[in-house]
Amino acid sequence: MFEEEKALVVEEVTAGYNGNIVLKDISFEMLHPSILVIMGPNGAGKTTLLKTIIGLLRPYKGRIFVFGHNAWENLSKIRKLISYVPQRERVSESVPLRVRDIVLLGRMAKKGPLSIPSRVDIKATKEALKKALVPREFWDKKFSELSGGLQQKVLIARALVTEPKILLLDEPFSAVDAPSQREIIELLARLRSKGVSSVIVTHDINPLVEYTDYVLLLNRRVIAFGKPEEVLTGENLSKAYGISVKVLAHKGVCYAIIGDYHA
Amino acid sequence: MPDILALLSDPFVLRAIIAIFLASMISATAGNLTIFRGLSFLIATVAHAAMAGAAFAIFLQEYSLIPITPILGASLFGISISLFLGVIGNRMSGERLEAITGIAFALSMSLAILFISLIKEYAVQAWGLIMGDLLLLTLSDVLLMIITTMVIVFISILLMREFLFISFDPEGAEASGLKTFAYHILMLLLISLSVVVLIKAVGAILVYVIMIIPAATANRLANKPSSTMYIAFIISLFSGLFGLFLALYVDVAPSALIGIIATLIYLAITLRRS
Repeated sequence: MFEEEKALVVEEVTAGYNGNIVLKDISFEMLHPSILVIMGPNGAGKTTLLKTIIGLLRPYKGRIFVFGHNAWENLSKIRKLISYVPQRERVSESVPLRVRDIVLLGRMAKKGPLSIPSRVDIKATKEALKKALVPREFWDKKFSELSGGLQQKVLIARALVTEPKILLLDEPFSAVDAPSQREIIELLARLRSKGVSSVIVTHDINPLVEYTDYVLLLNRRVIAFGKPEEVLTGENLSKAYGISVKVLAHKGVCYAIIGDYHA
Repeated sequence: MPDILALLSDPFVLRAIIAIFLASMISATAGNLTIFRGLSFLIATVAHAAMAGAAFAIFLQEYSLIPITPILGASLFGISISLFLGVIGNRMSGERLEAITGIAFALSMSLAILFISLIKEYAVQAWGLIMGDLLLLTLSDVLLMIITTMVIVFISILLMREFLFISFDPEGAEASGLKTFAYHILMLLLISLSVVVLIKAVGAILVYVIMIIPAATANRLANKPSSTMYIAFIISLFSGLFGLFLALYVDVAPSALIGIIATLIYLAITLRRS
């Protein structure tokens, strides 16, 4: 019997920007390897939570442990363990980078400036692209010329190239076509079976729910945390999204009907 | 038709050619960084701040107040405005940064006009800042250009990967452990230094042309950063040399012709591609 390993422990974290508190007293923990979905309405602090976990934002209060390492005391260590996949819309298209170059950037950034890519780095780049299901004919294409789904896969490949144990994905399905969405979800499930956990911020859990181990329902504080069928109840969803939300029950899980918008 | 060899042996023409070559190197490196980072508006702001700084220095000289050279005045004003924008703009949304850059642009322009109108005796010198003195460069001007260009090109190439990453995806870069703020400031320093260096040769207005147009054109054509650098270099060099020689025949300011040629190349390529 393996000892249960905790990928992530968040203890009473309060965080925000310029003194404005966005998140208050957030606590939860996830075992490794698993898939955690963070959901909540716009402005609930989902992205803020991701940024706090990866160390882009220092919490005002509370502690975060990644595989037992206190995140703020071991930033360089936890950045080796976690890879971040930003929202596709936040990535600039005015840099003429090829797909393979973007993935290599992710690899080289962790080796420090002035280092020269080795054979191993090039090989890791190709493997990551294969793993993330980016077809070979796109490797030399310009990123800005790809479809939304492919761009998302490239960003996942960039995150995988450093062989992390946790992926943090911010809205990986926004403006991604349905088949690619399916492929990405199956990819994340496959990664889980190979020992990579995922933390996914999304406003739409529907396509993902059967692969989800934990759901964190967030609205500036934790509304509910646990298994999908425990968290996704009409009562919780109404608490998170407001009383006016419509809730649809299907196979023991409730869905909030909130329309497909995101700020 | 005048003798080309005789022209080339003229030290002023020779220095102008060297300056065009150096400007093309800056255009290929710092110019491309500006496009990657989406900072083209910053160029105009820094250029006018630098012009204000140079005019201020000339004004101080004229009244024998403090002896600072125009290039020093230009550097001080140009670099401080870009650092100011860089520091306050680091955590700001694109639209807000653009608004503040616009205000800084208006202020620098007003200061430049203020100081230029205060200058009486040396008005020609101030005019040179606007138009550039490509054919009046002295040996020490060129030496200064060579040194700064080498520094700019060296640092740009050495840290290109980091600059690319923070331009492409600042959050992802920071999450990967890059010191994004330090690289961001370094990029701004390189860009503003480039603007200051180029002002003497091509003037405040055309700095924008030399820094932005070749790189923007290259960006439409190339699919990787190294190609954008070669293409921007070739476009700058071609428009520079062609503009210079044309200016020698028709006797107009070379910087104006260089600007027109570079713009025509951009238009031709954009129209062909669209």
